[in-house]
Amino acid sequence: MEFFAWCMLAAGLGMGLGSFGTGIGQGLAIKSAVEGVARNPGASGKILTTMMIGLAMIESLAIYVFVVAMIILFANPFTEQVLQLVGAAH
Amino acid sequence: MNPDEGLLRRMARRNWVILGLLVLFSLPWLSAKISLGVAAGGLVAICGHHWRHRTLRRMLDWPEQASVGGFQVGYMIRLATLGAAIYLLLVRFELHPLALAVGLLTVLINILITTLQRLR
Repeated sequence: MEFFAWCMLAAGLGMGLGSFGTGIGQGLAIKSAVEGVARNPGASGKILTTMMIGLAMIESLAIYVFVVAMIILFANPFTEQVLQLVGAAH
Repeated sequence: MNPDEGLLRRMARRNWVILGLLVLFSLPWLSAKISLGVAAGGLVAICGHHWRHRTLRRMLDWPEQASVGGFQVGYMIRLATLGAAIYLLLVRFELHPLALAVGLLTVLINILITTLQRLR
C-alpha cells in the first residue's frame, strides 16, 4: 500500500510544482505583453504572435506534468509488479 | 494582412502536416493504441492552441469589451477541458501514454521549426 501512497504524493507534488512554475511564467509573459500593447497599440499583432508562441511553450510544461501525473496514477507500469510482490509476500 | 498573421496561418497549417507525419511514423508499430494515441494527443494540442489563440485575439482586439473575470473563467474552462480530455484518453480509452505524449508534442515541434526558420 505504501507504493500507492507514494505514487499519489509524487503525482500531487509534481502537479503542484509544475503548475506553480507555469503560472508564474505565463503571468510574467502576459504582463509584459499587456505593457507592450499599452505602450504601442499598433504592435498588438506582433505581440500577440510572440505571446502565442511563448504561452504555448510554457503551457506545454503543465500539460506534460499532468500527463506524467496521470501515468503515475492510472497507467503506472510498475503496478503489476508491485501487486505480484505483495501477493508473493502474503 | 501583416506578416505575423501569415505566420500564425502557416503555423496552423504546419500543425496538421506535423501531426500527419507523426501518425505516419507511428504506423510501423502496427498498434491501434499507439497510432490513435499520437493522433488524439495531436488533436488535443492543436485544439488547445486554436482555443488559446481565439481567446487572446478577442482580449487584445477589443480590450474595452474584455472582462478579467470572463477571461479567467474561459481560461479555467479551457484547462479543465484539456485535462479531462487527457484523462479520458489515458484512463477510459487506455491509449498508449508515450504515444499520447508524442502527439502532444505537435505544437512544440512546430514552434521549434518556426524559431529555427526565423534564426536563419
